[in-house]
Amino acid sequence: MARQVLILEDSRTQAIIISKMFQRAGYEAVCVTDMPEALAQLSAQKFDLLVLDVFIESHNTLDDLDIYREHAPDVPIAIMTAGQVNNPDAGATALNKARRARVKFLLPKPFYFDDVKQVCGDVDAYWAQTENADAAAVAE
Amino acid sequence: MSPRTPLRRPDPDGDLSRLMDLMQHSETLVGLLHSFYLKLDTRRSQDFQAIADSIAQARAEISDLNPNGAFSNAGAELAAITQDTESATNTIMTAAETVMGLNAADPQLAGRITDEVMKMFEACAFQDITGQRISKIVRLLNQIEARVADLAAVVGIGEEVAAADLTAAEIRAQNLLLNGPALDGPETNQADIDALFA
Repeated sequence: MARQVLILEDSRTQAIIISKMFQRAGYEAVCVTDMPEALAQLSAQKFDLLVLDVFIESHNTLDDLDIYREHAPDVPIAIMTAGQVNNPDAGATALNKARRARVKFLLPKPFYFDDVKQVCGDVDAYWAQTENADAAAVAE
Repeated sequence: MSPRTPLRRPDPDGDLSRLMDLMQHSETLVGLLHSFYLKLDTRRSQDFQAIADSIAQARAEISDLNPNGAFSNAGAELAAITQDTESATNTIMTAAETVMGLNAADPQLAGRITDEVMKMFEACAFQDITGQRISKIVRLLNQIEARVADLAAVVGIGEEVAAADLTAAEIRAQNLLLNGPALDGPETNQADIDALFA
């Protein structure tokens, strides 16, 4: 069964481009444009990866990571962010904040299929490790 | 000492008397002119002050037109947009040419086509930052429009005067520009563009 990725991106064009990359990597992609829609999707089905854009309208997704983690415990999070023309430091600030919040993957825009492929490989390895740990715990 | 009395010489023809009258009139006239010129001087001074104030205000408006070198920044943004667009176009055209040159009998054909299409998708990612750059320039143009309107109000230029000042060549250039893409017109909308990618 194909892995599921939830993509939070408010630009429809960007969401389509990113979902095509994940589909090419063998994922089934669900795109949402805001947080309420994302939480509704997380309540409705299980995802293997959350790909979240930092700047949604004027809101900063990094301030809500706890809520996403509550709705999708143990699901790895990838944070994607573009630089902001009006605020050249915003991209670096967001990436550092995401790293401090211990998100699993950072995807600074623009990123390419090779970057998505690498993230998908790491996600596979993460779930394999988690399943092995669960199996070991059951065996004990 | 008794006060001095003017010496009066006999004046049989009344010349001196007429001269005295003339001098008296002249003195009255000079007095009137003095107060006229005094008033005129004050009014001129106020007029010149008003002109000086207008010039100072116009200078301030002109200097506000380019806050923090916004013009040169906008130029750099436009150059970046041109470069990003050109780069994306080249990538997309190269991928399309590659697809056209593929061997239909190649057993890996489907995979190769998908690889090239993925390059086209990747190339389209420039749209995100380009959108931000264009928004920034639009904001700057709106600011300039407001400032120019303020400046026109300061120097008392109406739209009809500005239009009348255009040369025939400028009017033609302006009319030609009006034939460009129409806002909310028949051009391809964003939903249709999204549908192409879907």
